[in-house]
Amino acid sequence: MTASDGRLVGDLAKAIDESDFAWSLVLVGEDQRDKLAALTGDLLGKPSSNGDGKQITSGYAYWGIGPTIAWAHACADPFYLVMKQSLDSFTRRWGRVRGRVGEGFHHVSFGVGTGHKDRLILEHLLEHNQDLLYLPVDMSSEMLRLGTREATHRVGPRGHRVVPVQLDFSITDNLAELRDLVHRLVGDEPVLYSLLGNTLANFDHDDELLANLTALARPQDRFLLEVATTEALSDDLARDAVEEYSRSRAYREFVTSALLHNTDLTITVDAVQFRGSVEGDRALKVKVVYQNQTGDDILMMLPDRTRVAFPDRDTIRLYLTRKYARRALDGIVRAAGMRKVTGTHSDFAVPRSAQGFGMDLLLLAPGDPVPAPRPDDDVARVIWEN
Amino acid sequence: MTRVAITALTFGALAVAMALGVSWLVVSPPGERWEPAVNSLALLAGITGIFAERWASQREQRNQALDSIRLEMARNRETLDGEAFNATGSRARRVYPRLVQSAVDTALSSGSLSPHRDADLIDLLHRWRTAVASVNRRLELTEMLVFTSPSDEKAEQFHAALHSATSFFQGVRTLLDETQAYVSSR
Repeated sequence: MTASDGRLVGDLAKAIDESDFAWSLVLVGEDQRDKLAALTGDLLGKPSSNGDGKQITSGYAYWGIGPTIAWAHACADPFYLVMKQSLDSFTRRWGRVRGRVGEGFHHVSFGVGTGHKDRLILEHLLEHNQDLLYLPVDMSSEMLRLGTREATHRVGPRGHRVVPVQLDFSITDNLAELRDLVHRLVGDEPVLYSLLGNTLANFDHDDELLANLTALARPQDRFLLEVATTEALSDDLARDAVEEYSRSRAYREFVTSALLHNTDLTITVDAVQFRGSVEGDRALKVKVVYQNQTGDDILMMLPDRTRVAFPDRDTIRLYLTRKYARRALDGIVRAAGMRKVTGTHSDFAVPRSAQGFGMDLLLLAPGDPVPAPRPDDDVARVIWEN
Repeated sequence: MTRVAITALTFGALAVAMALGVSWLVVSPPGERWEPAVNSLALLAGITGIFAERWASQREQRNQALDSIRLEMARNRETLDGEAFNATGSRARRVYPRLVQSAVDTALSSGSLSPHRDADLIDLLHRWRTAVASVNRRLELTEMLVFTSPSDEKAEQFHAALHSATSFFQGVRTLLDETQAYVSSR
């Protein structure tokens, strides 16, 4: 880099810091045309009555300004319990965990969300590191804009120390590039990575994603993971989980917004269905699907203007989420090559919520995986079991 | 042995006096039967009075024992419904209140309850007593392990185990419901 290049970067940082206008410097990591082609491909799936054919994969549910606004509305909906409780209880849970993070950290946030949680994290990290670098990473530039503004509102850091990265972090090659970028920017200084708001549960191969994300962490780094949890696994509880999501109209509007903005379907939220199941011994799984209930085969236009058949009773999977069994969490963390530094749990304090549903916040560190506990190591369970 | 001898002597003397009184009544001329009749009735009242007094005393003791058990169960109900055992309450380390069983112990040891008439209740109270002793012991172990652990995570693990659907604690709640309902119906 020449001296004039260095001056240009300095001037740019100065211009952003000193301007009253809400500039944000965004690094775009992928060609958005490729993303549109991938979305189109996902909507060309075979007919299926249970959401296994056509689908909108995780990042695309938030892609574009329409879904982003719908997401923001859903988050403000008191009937969308998971999000409401997650936001309400995060201050308390973060308060219990933050003392174990350490000092001098930078922050890389995967899936910035509404930005409220990142703001709390930044407030704490900035107390120990005024030169903190904040990199929110998301596939949706609109989500980045929305979340980053909330995350940095009144807490700093300075404008040029905030570097939103538009990138699909579910792609392994993208993460390799991101790792190089982060390490170039922070050197050997520690980084706190975070994946909050039960985002992990939205991916088909969640275990693989977590392993890829945590692989970014070096020994001095930490990883903050937040997931929705359940004390037990049963078909009844899967129905309770379905009930929890299906109550919110704003949530139905959010999950259909990607379809509304990328196809010419006439959307009715009544055609949104929730299918709950038990996923082995690790989670309750909820699939949100949009089913053609018109009684006729219809044609659906995709973003590239091709028309595909959307037969009667065919489905498009709109969203996937899970509630992880608390007992399975240690195994999930261990399989990702991490060890738990500390963790905290919060139950849903809502009368109609099923007993045992809540959120867990885990602070993880790379290193030798902790050996699996023997059954007799679970002292609490042994003492209180019948 | 002395008690048996005194009892035999007392009831023997009363029985003989009663027999003599009745004989006296039979052999007395018609105009002189007032005295043996009064004497016989006084002896009869003396004999039945002993049993009536014993029966009333036992009944009073039993009622007092049941009242004490009802109060104790209500107190235990307040404890279980209190903040300390609230599933959504604080997960911080704490000393838990204990369940009490002194009224049940006293009722069982004093013989206030009839082994025949109250057989079901006695069985239920023995089960309740065992459950209370067990839950208090488990609370002791919980406190010991939570307070000696440097991590807050341990307190959360115990909180989750305590309130899980299969926890021993849930069985104690059910047993308390059953015992309270039974005692109220007596």
